[in-house]
Amino acid sequence: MKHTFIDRVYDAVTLSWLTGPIFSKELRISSRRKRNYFLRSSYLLILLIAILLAWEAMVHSYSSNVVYRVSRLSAAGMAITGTVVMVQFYLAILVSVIMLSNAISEEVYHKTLGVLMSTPISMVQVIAGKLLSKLLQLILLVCLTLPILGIVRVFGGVPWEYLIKSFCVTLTAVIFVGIWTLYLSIHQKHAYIVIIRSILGLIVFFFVAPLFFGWLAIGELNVDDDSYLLCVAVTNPMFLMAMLMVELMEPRGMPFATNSWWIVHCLMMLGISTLLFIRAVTVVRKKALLQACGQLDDGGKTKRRSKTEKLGKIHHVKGPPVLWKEWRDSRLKMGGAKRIIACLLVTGSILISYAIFENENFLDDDYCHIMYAMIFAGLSTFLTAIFAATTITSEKASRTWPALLCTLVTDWQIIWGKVIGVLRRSTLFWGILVLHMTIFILVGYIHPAALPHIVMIAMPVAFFTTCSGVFFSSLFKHTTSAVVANMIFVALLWAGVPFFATIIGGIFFRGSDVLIETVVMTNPFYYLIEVLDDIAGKGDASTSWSRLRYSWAVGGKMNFIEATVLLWVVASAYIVTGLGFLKIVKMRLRKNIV
Amino acid sequence: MMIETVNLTKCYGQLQALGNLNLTINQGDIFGFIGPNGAGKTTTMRILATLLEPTQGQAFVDGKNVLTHGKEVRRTVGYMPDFMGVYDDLKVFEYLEFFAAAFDIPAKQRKSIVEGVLELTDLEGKKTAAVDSLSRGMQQRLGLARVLIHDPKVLILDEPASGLDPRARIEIRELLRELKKMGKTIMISSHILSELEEICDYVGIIEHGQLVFSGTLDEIWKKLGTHSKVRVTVVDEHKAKAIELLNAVPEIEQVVEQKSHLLVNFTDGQIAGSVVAKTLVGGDVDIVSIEPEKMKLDDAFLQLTKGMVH
Ligand SMILES: Nc1ncnc2c1ncn2[C@@H]1O[C@H](COP(=O)(O)OP(=O)(O)OP(=O)(O)O)[C@@H](O)[C@H]1O
Ligand SMILES: [Mg+2]
Repeated sequence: MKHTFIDRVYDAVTLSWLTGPIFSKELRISSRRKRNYFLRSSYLLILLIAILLAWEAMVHSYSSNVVYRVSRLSAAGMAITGTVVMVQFYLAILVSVIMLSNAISEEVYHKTLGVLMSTPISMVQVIAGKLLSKLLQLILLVCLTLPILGIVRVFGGVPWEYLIKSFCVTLTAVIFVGIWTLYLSIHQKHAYIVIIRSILGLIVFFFVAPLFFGWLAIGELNVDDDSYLLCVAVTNPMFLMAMLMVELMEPRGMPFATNSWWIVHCLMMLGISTLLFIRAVTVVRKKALLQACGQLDDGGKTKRRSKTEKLGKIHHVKGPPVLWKEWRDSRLKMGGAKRIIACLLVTGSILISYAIFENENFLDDDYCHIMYAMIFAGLSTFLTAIFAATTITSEKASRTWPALLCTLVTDWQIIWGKVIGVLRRSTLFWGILVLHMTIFILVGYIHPAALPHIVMIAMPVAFFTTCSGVFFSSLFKHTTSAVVANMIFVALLWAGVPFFATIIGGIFFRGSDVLIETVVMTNPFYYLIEVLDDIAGKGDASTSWSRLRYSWAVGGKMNFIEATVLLWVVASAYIVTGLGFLKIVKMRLRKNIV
Repeated sequence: MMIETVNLTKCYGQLQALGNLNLTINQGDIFGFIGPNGAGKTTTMRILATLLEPTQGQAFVDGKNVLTHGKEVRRTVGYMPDFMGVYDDLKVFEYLEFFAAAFDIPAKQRKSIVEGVLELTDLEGKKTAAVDSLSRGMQQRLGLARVLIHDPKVLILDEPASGLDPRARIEIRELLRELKKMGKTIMISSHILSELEEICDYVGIIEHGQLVFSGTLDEIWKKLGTHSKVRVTVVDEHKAKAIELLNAVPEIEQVVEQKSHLLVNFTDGQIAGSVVAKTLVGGDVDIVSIEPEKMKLDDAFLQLTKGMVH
């Protein structure tokens, strides 16, 4: 076949010398997937609507004074750009984690790695191809928002510099996160486990570690705050993005200028990414060689026959079989030592954060506990959402689903087995929230009444998220689609809807907050905040039970009993809706089996 | 009649995978299901195992409609899919016990039943091995063990021998014979046709979702007129003369010279052997042997599905 001019241009543009045929293959496949079209267009749509609504809300609704409007315009421009850039940054990271969560494992699992090894494609090309092709979608998305943000720039106030800086930081962060996730996916065939591990790893790198070293440096070694902050900014994209935002909104509040430091940061991220990349190439090459000579099992682990066979004890099936199996399945698939390390890390970082806040006299403040509760509840929701979304798709992927459906196990037994299994697995995470509450009730910073209420909020959230997850998992074929769908669903429901309600309320119900007030009354996280706001903190914690007062957005002040009834009503509504999801799952359980 | 389908039709969107398939399998028979890739074998089997709903038509197993009596059918049928998955965190014994429980077998009987099927499939030594550490062939055997666990009357096996070494294949064949002796009805699809040849009572040949042929092996041979070929071996010096003589006989359609023998095609199969013998003896040719050419199922398969390639 003769190479046409267009072919050559195409090759040059797609860096084919580096990425080889894998890239083209991936590109073709990924552009064929419906899910990608859906993701791309819905993202742009949401972004556009958000910008228009925000603009409408901020600019049109107030005064007709021209000068005032112009100043509002530039404030609006900054606010919108800042928000979009920030949201996009975190979204891009999340999506890149999900996209690359099966990058290598799919090759290992489908046994194509050994085949690739016997072709002239080099391993560098394989990895680079995988990485770029998956990230390309994402980078495309981020690039597409640049012109949209360019429009916002017309309002004034937003310098190009800011857009470029944040664009570069986002880009390098995405590349780093992508390689990190790809690296994790070498060792693990289950995408959802890779997602969880990758995100936990990022949390440790970028939140726990800086916190710990900050505590060490400022508290113990007397390093001055500014140089510490600078250090963090250079090493931590999350923090740097926050700093850029501050610089945009309130340049005087900055401890240092990000001038050229952001370049140092970007170069450093690229450097680390390169090192990880080289490491990934060596490891994959080793794996591929093993697979080519048949010494690798499906899970990507080197076979160790003799060892696994000796692993003695047989557990007998008790009770309903699906429930039994789900119950004993721990899902994170971590060995003993790793599990202990992970537990130590989590407890350690929580304790350190307590120590730091205690030092700052923040621990008896209700906002402190609202923050903790939101982080714990948010993370638990997130993990529950992932666990639930993998239940059925993972059986479909491992082809055990038809075998199970051929047995006499009823549909409800399967569904409830899965639901209870997910709930059990996520109890560990929800337990942290409850434990935190209990500790500070005992310490006397939170009123004991908070405990039953927190449980009443957490349980329906966990149950509802599980049900929707099982629903998406019965709907989709690929685990990653189900996970993405469930996370987007939950995020839209509990964060997106209030956000849009605020904006739409601002436009259509000038000045009145009816819409947003009604919306938050359906939001469990709102109740979480409100409960802690009203009865946590040193002052409120010692009130007698009969004097407790809860002030909701709708319905005025309530006492403990009334508040409990209200929470119970909300909880029931979520549980009933969850059951509705399960009913749909039951109806379509036997559709699309293969 | 153990399995019966009436005008069974299945469409995947535009594509018709099965079109008016009528199939009957009697109790206690081993039925071989043959067809090229994409013919609709797996689709048929999935419908019979209640995993797929037919677009049109009905399917019955042991007299029960698969659509309306799913549970009874599942109790009767043991279905082994073409690609079998295993739960990666269970041991062999646990895996089988899990399925025993899933088939409502009381806890007390499970142990002995699981041990029974392990013995039958020769997997006793692997009792405590993790299922995903088993080799492909052993996993296949484990799949067979799983299918047998609830002692179903009907076994539906989708390419059970794929990926097995010759020894394991023979073992599976033995196992199937044993199961037949136990009175089970077995429907088996395979690409390795010589395998079906030795164990099947009936075969059905399917192509493009249509049954091209169904009947006993003898009926296939008859339909194809397989006895009309004779393999003749003569002393080397007389080869040319023999060809000349045979070509002169009007009943003989064609003489093909092969490495060590001659393949003689007749237009009519009944008198083949004697005509050849008489002609050659009459012509003073030294004959080493004359034997009817036995046609392999593979060839029958090729002939029956010829011209309908995708
Ligand atoms: N889930 C599906 N969606 C769409 N088309 C399908 C699906 N499953 C099978 N088909 C189509 O139906 C036809 C019959 O497929 P089937 O799997 O039954 O063939 P088969 O005889 O088992 O082939 P093989 O010998 O390769 O296993 C094929 O053309 C296939 O492409
Ligand atoms: Mg098939």
